Amino acid sequence: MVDTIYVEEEVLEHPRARLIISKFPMARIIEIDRFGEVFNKRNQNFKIQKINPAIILAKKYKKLILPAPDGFGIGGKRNYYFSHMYNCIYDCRYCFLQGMYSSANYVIFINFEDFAEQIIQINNEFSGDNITFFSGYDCDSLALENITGFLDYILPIFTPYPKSMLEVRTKSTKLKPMTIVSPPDNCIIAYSLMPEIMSRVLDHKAPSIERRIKSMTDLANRGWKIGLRFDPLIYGKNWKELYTELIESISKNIPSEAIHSISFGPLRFPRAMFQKIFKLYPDDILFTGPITQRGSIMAYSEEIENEMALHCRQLFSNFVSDSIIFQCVSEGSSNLSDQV
Amino acid sequence: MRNTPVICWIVALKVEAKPIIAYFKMSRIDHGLKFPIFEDKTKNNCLIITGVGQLNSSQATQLLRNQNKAPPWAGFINIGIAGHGIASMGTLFLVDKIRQHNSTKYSYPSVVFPLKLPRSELVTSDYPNTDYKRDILFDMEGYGFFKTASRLSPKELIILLKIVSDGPEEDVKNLTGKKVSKLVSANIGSILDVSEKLRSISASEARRLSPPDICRDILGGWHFTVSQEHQLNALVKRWLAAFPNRTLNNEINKFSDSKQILYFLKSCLDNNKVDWENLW
Ligand code: SF4
Repeated sequence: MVDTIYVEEEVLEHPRARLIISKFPMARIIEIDRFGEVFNKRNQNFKIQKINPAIILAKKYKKLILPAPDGFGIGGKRNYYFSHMYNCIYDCRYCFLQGMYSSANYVIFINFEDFAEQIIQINNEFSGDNITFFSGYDCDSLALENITGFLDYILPIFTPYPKSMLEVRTKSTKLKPMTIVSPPDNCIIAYSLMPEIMSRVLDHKAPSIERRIKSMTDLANRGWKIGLRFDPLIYGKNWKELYTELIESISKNIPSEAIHSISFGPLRFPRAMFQKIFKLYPDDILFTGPITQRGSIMAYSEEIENEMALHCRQLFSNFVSDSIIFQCVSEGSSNLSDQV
Repeated sequence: MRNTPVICWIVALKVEAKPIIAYFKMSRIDHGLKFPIFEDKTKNNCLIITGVGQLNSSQATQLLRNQNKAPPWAGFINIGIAGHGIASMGTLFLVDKIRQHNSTKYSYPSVVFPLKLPRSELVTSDYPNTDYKRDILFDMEGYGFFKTASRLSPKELIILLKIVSDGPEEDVKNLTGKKVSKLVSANIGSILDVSEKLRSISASEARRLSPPDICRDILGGWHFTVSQEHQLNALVKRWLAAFPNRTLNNEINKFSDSKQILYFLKSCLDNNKVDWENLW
């Protein structure tokens, strides 16, 4: 349970901040000027902060909605991403957040209205185009939904824009927010997946794959569009069988009509980020695999990457049409593809 | 560098330090230094008596670190008495917000493990402060300590504990050495509880940051450049995690130079297919 909430003085009286604070009656509230005073400071330690993360309530001023890097998308002409939070309640070993921030506290930006305003602006500016907005770049979009209410707020913003799609990337199995609204046509709930036994080792504190599949099934039955995200693809002994079993188990439970898209991508880190993450967990199983330096990135060899991509694409195409399978080709410098 | 957890205690007054020195059976080790330094037999608990004031506290923190050769995972605890506007005498507080008296700029010590202790803001001033109007602590060392300690270790390993010794109802002039020692002794259980929690984090940081023991043997047997030594440490950590049932010594003793060893480690890892099904 969170026992400390830092609050920017400017948002202290904001109704959303008051509501979030009211959910933690035992927490100590500490007023701050700007979240940078406590977040991502020099000589902070992500791994230690992860033991007892605090919440930071803040306002985001700049870079609320950003264009997604090239090579990233699920069929839309324009792609954008955004995060109403920094950091995550889960602790996946391949997560780039560990390498990006020295702080593991959860920053929640409570000025949802400003995010909405920019989304509307982009939708109006490019009203003829198919646009995809990816939520959950610096966080898991739904893991703290019961605290933030972000989805609840942002979904109706998309209603007047049928050509605009919202992807909500998550590993959360708390479905309540999706059971109280009827599923819109332009929202995808996208689940990050990997074979169960890999996930058990790498996706610390996150719901099991079995529970994620159950949640997807439930959502599909309620009419929600489902995204399947295999990003990053993890290598190891029997990886082909493991991924085959995973796809079989998904296809047995979720009707292919409910699948909006499948995307997949390799395990890649920019070199400096890899060094930071490796330093935090130098004896983690993830790093015992054949990860090597390839120019400015750390990744499996090209041969492994290609073999995995080819095999997985084949697996996916047995389940859904090729037209909804997308390969994310991150160069490691953009992290959007590898996360959540 | 040793690979044990270390706790450095920074205390202004001898009377405050007494119960801690006694508990850890520390003895004085300094030889004519500006501040008295104490250590236990293991050197994993050390303490410095800083005297009053921010500058002393800051200098002494640095000195203790240097004398003890405290590693980057050392925990630092500043314990001492303080004034408070409301709380009753003897209350032990964990400080989570701190500033200098004449400044509006705050620093925020982390709260890295859940504690039942009450928490408070601390204002450090250069003279005894008896402006007890507010619900905050006053001392004369905390800020100086925190600024220096947070350059020496991660902020999460730095803790400030303050025991209320004076306030509107209790004149600071009535404080005696005996009273101060009593206040610390009365809270020693909670103080040690905090230090043990900090020690366990320091221990896990020590494991994370120290090279595996076997690296020392390898460095003794073959010549490695500094950059090769870094590669060796990282590769050995990965190798040991990848092959917990193999004995590295046996596999490398045939090699004649450092390059061969590094090449061997790297190729083992490059060819390793993690057996996800049989990890447990
Ligand atoms: S990868 Fe995603 S779910 Fe996992 S810790 Fe990072 S943000 Fe959270």
